[in-house]
Amino acid sequence: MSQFLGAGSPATQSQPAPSPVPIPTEIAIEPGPVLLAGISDGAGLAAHRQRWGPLRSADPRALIHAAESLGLRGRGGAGFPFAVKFKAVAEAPGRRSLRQVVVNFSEGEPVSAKDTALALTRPHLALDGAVAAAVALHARTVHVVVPSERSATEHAIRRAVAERPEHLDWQIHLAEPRFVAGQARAVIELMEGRANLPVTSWQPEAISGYRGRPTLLSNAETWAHLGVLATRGPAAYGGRGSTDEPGTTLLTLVDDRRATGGQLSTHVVEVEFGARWRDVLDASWSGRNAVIGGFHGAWATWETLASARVSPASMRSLGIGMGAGAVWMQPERACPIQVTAQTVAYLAGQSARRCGPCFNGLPALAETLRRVAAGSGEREELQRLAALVTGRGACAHPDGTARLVRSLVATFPAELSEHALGRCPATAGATGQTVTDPMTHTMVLR
Amino acid sequence: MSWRLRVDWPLCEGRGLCHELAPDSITLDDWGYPIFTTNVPHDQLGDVREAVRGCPQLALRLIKDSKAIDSKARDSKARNSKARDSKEEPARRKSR
Repeated sequence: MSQFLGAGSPATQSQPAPSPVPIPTEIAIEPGPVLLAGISDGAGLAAHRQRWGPLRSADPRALIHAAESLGLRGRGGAGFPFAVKFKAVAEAPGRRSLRQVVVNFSEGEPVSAKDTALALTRPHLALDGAVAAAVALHARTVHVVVPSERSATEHAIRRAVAERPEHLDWQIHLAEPRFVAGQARAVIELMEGRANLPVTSWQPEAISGYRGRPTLLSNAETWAHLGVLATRGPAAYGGRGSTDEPGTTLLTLVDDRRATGGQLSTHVVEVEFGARWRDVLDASWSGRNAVIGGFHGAWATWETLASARVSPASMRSLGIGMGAGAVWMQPERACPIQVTAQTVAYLAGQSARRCGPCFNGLPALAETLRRVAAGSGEREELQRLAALVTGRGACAHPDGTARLVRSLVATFPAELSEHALGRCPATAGATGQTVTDPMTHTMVLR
Repeated sequence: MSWRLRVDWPLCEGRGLCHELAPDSITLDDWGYPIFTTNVPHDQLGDVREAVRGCPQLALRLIKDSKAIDSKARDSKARNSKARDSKEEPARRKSR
């Protein structure tokens, strides 16, 4: 585990902005069709084997074929085809026993809780996937990365790993509590004993990852789907999903009612691809806006959601990436500009402070957005800064932050125009149509 | 064939020497960090090579992009070499 915290010196940095959504301490996990079927059986290995059966013989070609037939893509947010990664590791030169397998449970995104849900209910499904890959690749080491700020995940994983009968070298790593800690290169850095921060990647991890060795690193949910394929096979999905996007996905639904005097509640559900959002979301949430894909995601109005489907491809065509499947339902009368300003302020503070365009650009973006929320009307400057930081860092943190800002501009042009005139339509009534500073909540006098 | 310019962003300290050496290809942002188009135009390769060599942080790399080679040439190249999809400019490099 790394000893470095990686942040700038306290003398030059003020207290970083808190996350607008705290990491959940309570998660409602609903039984689902495949991954989350029969979760009341418990998370132990005996119950797991009874439901899922033994691991089938691990032939790499059969695994690749199964992953391809399911169209399995990484569930950490980037959505890279799993079979392509697997093949790259399988075909990489060098001693096979040096290949590494990494299960990433680190979940640095505060809106997401689906990997925690898996750790608590289905840890052995993810570990089955990793074991099947390790056996198929002749790898001897399986690394499991758990978040230090979600202790329930760590405990569940330690318990599950202790139950495993396979003769593998299990390594558990504790990710640091920061937004970018789960990024692939940051995870490799952590595993190698350096600060858990992103660095420039010159080659894919599958070619040169941990200590330069071919490394198959994927998100915990991706591994759980491979676990399904390695035990009961593709038939377990029962034809769920659509032709183009077969199978199921986990979603984290955060119901935020704090602005209307209510609570924040976190639900994890498993749905088939192609399901209608209006069937997935609670009917009582009707009319509320949402941020889809977490803090690096995009805004969606209820109108958009009501006619859209849980389909990464069709959501992408609406300009909305599904990321790791985290949905943040906004409270009624929440101002999207204020919410984005608070979120970008948090994201700016989460920069690893290593790449100039990120550690200078994100605070500039946050400050401009704060002024825009308070009525300055600098929409062009917002767009200029969002474009300026995009693609200019070792990881996609600046890109993801800019994406949320661009989606705000694209989704709420009328609200931005009203704000420039000193009126906030969302909170009208509550604050007498006056814009407020998103960071201090003081009224702005114009 | 085309050449791509990449920055090792955590290494770059925004000294601005690259802009001095290749002013037509590399400009600087609000904070002094380089802005450039990824694909380097052929007539600017000389200046850009100077910028890569001159970077005090050795943060710039020029990468030969075989993806951009026309398909016929790429096929014969693929048969003849085990090289992956890109090859680095053999300028001086710094190992991490």
